[in-house]
Amino acid sequence: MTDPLTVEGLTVRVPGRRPGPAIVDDVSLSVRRGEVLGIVGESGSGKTTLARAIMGLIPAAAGRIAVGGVRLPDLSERSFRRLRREVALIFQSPAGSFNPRLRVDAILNEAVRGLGGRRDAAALLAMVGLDPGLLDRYPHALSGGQARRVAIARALAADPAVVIADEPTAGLDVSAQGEMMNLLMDLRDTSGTGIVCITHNLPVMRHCSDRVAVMYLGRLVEIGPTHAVATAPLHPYTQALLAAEPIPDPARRRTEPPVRGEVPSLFARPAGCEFHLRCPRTTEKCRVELPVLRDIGAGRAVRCHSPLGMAA
Amino acid sequence: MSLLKVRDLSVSYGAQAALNSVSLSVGHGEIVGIVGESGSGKSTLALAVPRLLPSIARVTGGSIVLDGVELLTLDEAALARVRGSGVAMVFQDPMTSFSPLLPIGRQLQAFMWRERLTARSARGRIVDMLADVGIADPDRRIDAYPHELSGGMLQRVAIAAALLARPALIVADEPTTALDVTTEAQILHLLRDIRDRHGAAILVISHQLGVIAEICDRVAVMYGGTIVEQGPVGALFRRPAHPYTQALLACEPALLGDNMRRLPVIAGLPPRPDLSGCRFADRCPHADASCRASVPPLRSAGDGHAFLCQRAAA
Repeated sequence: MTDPLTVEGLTVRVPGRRPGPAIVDDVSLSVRRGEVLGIVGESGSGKTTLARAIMGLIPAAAGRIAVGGVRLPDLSERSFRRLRREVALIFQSPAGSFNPRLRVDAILNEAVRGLGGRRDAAALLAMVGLDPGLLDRYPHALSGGQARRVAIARALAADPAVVIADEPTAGLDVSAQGEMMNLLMDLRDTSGTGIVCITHNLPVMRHCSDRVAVMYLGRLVEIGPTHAVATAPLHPYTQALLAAEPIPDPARRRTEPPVRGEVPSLFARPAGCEFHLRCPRTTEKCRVELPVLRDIGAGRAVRCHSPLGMAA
Repeated sequence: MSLLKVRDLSVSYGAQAALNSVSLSVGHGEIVGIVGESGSGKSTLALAVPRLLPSIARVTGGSIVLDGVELLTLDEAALARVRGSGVAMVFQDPMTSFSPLLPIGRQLQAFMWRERLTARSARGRIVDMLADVGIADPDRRIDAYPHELSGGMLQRVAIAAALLARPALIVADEPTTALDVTTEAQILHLLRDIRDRHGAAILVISHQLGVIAEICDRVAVMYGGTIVEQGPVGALFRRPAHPYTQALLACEPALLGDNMRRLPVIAGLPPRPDLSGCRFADRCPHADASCRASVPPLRSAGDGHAFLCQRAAA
C-alpha cells in the first residue's frame, strides 16, 4: 500500500536576497498509515520548520512531496491546497491558533467548509471526547485541555490521512501530556490516521511512537523503529539525547553530564559531520567528510561514519 | 539551624488562595526541590521568599525567616540588602533575564554594587566568576551582548550573576525549563557543583521529577497550594506516601516499561480553590467521605519524611 505522505529531499533555507544556510537540509521520510512517527530534536534542529514546509506554510528551496502516492506537480500554493485536505497540522499552542472572535462551532465549520469535509462540528467534538455543549463557547472560555482537543477536532475536519502535531506535549504537566498522547494514539488506532509528532520529548516518544526520526541541525541523523532506536541507538547524538533526560530516580544520578557543548548555530555549521565537535567518537574523517544517511536494514538508517555497535 | 524557615505561609491573589499554610525549611548548603504541576503554587512560594510577589498578591499569614531575620516585616531598604547577599534568584528564561542593550559584563557589575570595587577589580572578579560557571573564553565573553550567547551560556551567566553577590540562598525557578535537554543536564550539574564549591543553599522549583531527583537533597511536593509530602529524595522517590506523589511518579514516562502504547494519567481536574478537606480527594483512588470533611493530618513516614493524608499507609 502506498504511504499517505512521502517527502523527498526537502530543503528550506534562511530567506534573504541571497538564500542563507539550510534550516532543513535534504530531509526524506514517509509517513505510513496507522503509525505514530516521532520526529525528535532540540531547538534549532529544524523540526518545526520541516512541518511547516510540508504544509506549504513556508517556502521550500527544494524537494518533492507525494500525497497518497501522487506527487505534487510543484511546491505552489495550488498544490498545497490539495495537500491540506489530506494532511492536517496541529499548531504548537492550540489556543493561540484560534480566532478569538469565533465560537467553537464557527471555528470547526470554517475548517470543514474550507477543506470540503462532510462532518459536522458536533461530530468532530465527539471524536475527541468533548461535549457538544462547548460549541457555543469562545476560545477564551475553554480550559487548556479543551482547547487542545478542539485543535485536534479541527485537524480532523476533512478526515485527513496524516495529522502532524507540532510539540503536542510542550509545556504540559505530566498527566496532561499522557492525556494528549493517548488521544492521538486512539486516533491512530481507530481511524488508521498516520500521526507525526514533532517533539523534544524523547521519553514520551519511546512509548507513543512506532517509529522515530532524530534531527540535528536540520538533518535527519537517525530513523528507525522506536524500540530499536531507544534500546540500541546507532548515532552518538541519539545516545546523548537518551542519556541526557534526567531520570526521576535519585539512585540513578549521573556524575557527569552525558554530552558536552551546545547545539551550534546554523550560521556556523561545523564542517564534516555537524555533531563532531560534541561527539565522543570523532575521528579525522568526521571533521572533513559529511556522512550520508545510509540504510542498514530492518527499517533503520543512520548518518554516521562509525555508528554505535557497528564496525566502521 | 536552618538557613531558611518558612512557617504556615499563606498567600492569596485577590479572593483566590494560592498558598495554604505552607511550611518548609532549607539548611545551609542544602539543595531543596519543590515539585508540582502548574497552578500548584510552587512559583508563588519561590517568589514569596525574596518578597518579589506581584502587588496583587497578599500574604495572609505565616512567616519567612532567613538567617534569623523575619523577611515579611522588613522595609524596602532592608529588603534591598537581603536580596543579593541573602537570597538571589535565577529565573526560568535566561533570554529575558538580561537587558538586550548592555554587554553582560556591565550588567553583572550591578550585582556587586555594595562592594564599591574599582572598574578593574570588578572586571577581574566577573571574568573569574564567568570562568567558574563554565563559560569558555571569559575575557572575550564578558563584552558580549545577550543575543550573542546561547540559552545555555546565558543561564550560566545568570547563575554567575547570582553568585557575585555571595548569597546564602539561591532560588532557582524552573532553571532548565527553557533549555534543551543536553544543555539541561549541564546546568543541573553546574548547580550541584556550585553548592559543593560555594556552599550556597539552593531552592529549586521544577515541574519535572527528573530534575529534582538529579540534584536535590530534599524535596517538597505541592498540590493545590499546599505541600502534601516532603522528605529526603531517596526516601520520597523510593517510598512515596501521598497518593498524589504516587500518581505523579506513576505517570513519569521515563519510569515506565517500554512501549506502553498508552500513558497513565491522573483522572480529574486540578483542585478548585474553594475545596474543603483534602484537596486531592476528588482525584484520589483511596478517598472517602472523611477526606472531604476535614483537613488531613500531617503524618510522619520516618526520618524527616512527612505527608498530608489520613488514608494512606505510612
